[in-house]
Amino acid sequence: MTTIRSKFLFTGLAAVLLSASLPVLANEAYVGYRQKIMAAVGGHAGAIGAIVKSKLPEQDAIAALAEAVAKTADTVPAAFSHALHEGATDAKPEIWDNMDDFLTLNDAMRKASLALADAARKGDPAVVKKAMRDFSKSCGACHRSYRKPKEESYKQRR
Amino acid sequence: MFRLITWVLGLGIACALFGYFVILPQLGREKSDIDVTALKGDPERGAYVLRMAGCVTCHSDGQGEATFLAGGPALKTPFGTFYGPNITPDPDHGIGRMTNQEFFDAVTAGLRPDGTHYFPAFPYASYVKMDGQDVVDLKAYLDTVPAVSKAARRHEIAWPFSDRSLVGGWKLLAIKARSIVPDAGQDNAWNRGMYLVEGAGHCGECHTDRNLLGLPRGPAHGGSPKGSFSSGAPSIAGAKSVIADWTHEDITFYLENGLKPDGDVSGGKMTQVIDFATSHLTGDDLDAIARYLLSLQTPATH
Ligand code: HEC
Ligand code: HEC
Ligand code: HEC
Repeated sequence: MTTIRSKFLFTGLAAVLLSASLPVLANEAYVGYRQKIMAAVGGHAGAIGAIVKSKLPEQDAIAALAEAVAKTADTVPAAFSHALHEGATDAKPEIWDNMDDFLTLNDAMRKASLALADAARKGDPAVVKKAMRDFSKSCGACHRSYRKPKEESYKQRR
Repeated sequence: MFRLITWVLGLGIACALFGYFVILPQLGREKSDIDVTALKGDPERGAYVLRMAGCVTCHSDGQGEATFLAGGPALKTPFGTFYGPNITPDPDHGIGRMTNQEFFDAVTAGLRPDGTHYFPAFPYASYVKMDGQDVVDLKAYLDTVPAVSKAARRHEIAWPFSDRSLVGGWKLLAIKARSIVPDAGQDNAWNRGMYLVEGAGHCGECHTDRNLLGLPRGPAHGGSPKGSFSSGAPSIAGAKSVIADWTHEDITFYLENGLKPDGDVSGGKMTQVIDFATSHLTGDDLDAIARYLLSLQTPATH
């Protein structure tokens, strides 16, 4: 009887402890997760840049890569839903005071990448050039308010 | 003994007063002897010069006609906060009353129409190397933008930095060369690049480190730490350059789009430089800048 009770107690206690610690662990992992999302966005942007600047005969790939950025944008709202702004992150706390604005800027990036995909398919160089500009501006528009500048970055060891 | 101390003190004060009121006002009054009154401005070229020289960043706060060139956002420096004034043709709050010559002396010598000094937050230490025709074209263009009747904001700077007469001494120390001497051993594109980087583009205002007096320190474009005028700009030349392995196209594409080769985007003040200035440049000018910057990547060969 006592052993059963203490077993109950033990599992209960363990469950309480687990449920208290698990979300914390998961939360922390969101920092790395969302940084990888951004790195993916950057990877696609870098590939598009490589095609455009060196005039590689891969024009069709521009649309595919830009659409991948749009798809990735869909993962941003959930990835940034946990207010984590301390430690190894460059996310500014203001994100969670202005979530609507942050999400609007994310949507602006999504739209700009779709516009770039569209322009790339149609192939008018002047339109592609402008769409490319708007696309890269959409990154800066969010970073300006919500990403720490390079000199304050956790990556900086200057 | 007491008499002697009074005499020495008195003499010291007299010297200081003489220096402040008689010598100091004469310092840094040097200006180019180019007479621009004979030059005729082309407003269309001037609109381009505005972009080349990045004037918009410091003189416009926000987008649209009501704010265009009507006064800039706060420019925080270690010496205080400056506000680029209204440079629309408004006669009272803008520069409508400035003649071409006065405008030329303002931009290239930091001299106000009354002969006193502008603060070097206005980067005339770089513009000193600007071409007379470029400046006159720029004025012709500025005459065509909508006049905005908006008073300039007062700078927030503490004494002694707020004393305009001290700027003369600064100029004497800071401004070494008053024009760009083309390098005959280099081609036109390289020389054009040097003009754009060292003169009009004023890249060194941020990318070159400065000492406590705001004088350039260390290698040109060698990078400046956080807390400096630029809020920290990386080295883009010489031994510590962060763009040492960039290609020609990496540089032109970055100056046009703000995207780095590694897929990251530009941050900090460089984003404004790209948005308001370099992204408006012609392909030829971007090529010229890249040519010149690439030549700065190998130290000691120059
Ligand atoms: C809606 C806001 C937003 C938009 C739009 C945005 N970013 Fe970001 N980005 C961030 C934030 C916030 C961080 C910092 C994340 C962290 O450190 O936790 C970041 C970080 C990054 C990083 C560094 C990732 C790492 O390894 O730490 C790269 C690269 C990047 N962004 C590229 C881009 C590019 C390219 C675009 C445009 C195509 C873009 N971003 C658009 C918010 C945004
Ligand atoms: C880094 C910021 C910055 C840039 C870039 C800049 N300015 Fe200024 N400018 C200023 C500041 C600050 C002042 C005020 C200086 C003072 O009060 O002594 C000023 C003053 C002026 C004045 C004097 C206005 C008056 O009412 O007396 C003129 C004219 C002017 N700038 C034109 C230009 C032009 C033309 C360019 C581009 C070629 C330019 N500026 C680029 C910051 C800047
Ligand atoms: C108002 C200050 C300022 C001026 C003027 C300026 N820069 Fe920059 N520049 C910066 C800052 C700050 C960065 C770092 C940007 C970042 O954090 O991503 C930078 C970054 C760069 C980089 C990329 C290096 C890297 O990997 O981050 C290049 C190339 C560059 N600048 C070239 C220029 C050229 C060419 C000019 C002149 C036409 C210029 N800059 C004028 C502030 C300035």
